[in-house]
Amino acid sequence: MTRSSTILLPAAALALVAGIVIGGLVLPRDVEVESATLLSPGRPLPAFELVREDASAFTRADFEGDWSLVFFGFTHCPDICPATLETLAAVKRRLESEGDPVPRVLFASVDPERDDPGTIADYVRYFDPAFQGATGTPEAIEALTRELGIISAKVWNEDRSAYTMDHSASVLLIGPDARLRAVFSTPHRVEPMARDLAAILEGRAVPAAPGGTG
Amino acid sequence: MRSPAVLLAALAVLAGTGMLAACQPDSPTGGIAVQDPWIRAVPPSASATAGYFVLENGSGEDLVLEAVTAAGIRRAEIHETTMADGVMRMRRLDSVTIPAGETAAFAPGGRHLMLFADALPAAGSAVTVELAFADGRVLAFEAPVRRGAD
Repeated sequence: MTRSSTILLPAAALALVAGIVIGGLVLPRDVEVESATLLSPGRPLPAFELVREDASAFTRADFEGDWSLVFFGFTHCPDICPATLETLAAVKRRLESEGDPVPRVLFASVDPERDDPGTIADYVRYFDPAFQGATGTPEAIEALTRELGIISAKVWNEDRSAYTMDHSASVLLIGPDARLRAVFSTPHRVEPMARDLAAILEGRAVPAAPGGTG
Repeated sequence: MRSPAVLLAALAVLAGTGMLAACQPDSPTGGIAVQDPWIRAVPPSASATAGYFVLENGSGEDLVLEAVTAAGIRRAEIHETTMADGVMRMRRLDSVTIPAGETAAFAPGGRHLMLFADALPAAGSAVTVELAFADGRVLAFEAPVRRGAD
């Protein structure tokens, strides 16, 4: 063995070990998604037509090309809806600060009787200026929500002076192929949601193993 | 500067009326305390928001919360959000019983105050809330208005 190889071999071995360690730290790795149920290859959306603030239509084609988070609710909702929108705003800020891809966020009202598209747009911009709002006729909302597994129902109070809306509180992830790709169920937490979203949008997501690591 | 005698007299009056133990800011009513009150700041177009707090019943007897009023709020009710199969439901509660020695949380996604007003308070302000109990006691506290995910 030459003098130079006695130096080079340990140096090469050291570099290899360092490379593995650093690579393990910085290279993308699969992430077990725990805050959402993944749908692969995804459920196709039906044809639908909602209405945006400027009265233009929001259709299935508008989902194509971008990832979108969709949450169904109503602006007279004092608890879950604003809490969820605050969470989604915090998730967006987290993704932005990490340099991760950021999905569009769409708040769709299931209460078109009280929420016109302008009201919804004003409402969602409070949480983040880039958030979008839409609604539609009851028939149009029903056509979309039925296929997405989203339920909503009007419930009157005892003296019928006011009503609330029961509704599914899941946050849906629509892929750039306009398919339902993941369902985030409650409770929505910023940290796991941001981590799982980043993994899904970067193609590093795998379903959590059954009875997984928790 | 008041004389020590005046202070002592005042203390004696307070002790005599049973109010001394209740003089801490967080427990104006004997043994009942409110922790971490806050009201959710919502968009200006919203007509309702929610109030949250933790109510500690150290009074030695069951407490029944029956009514709520809040300054500048047209109507205040006790509501409960429940989640069943992923569906959010919200219902009004007539009353909430807090057993002696127990603590009741009013928190996002659960029991909360539902506050209706045409102009809801903005973030950074505060609202005086009064909880009225079945035994006639009233507990008043200041709740800051702020944004928050939970």
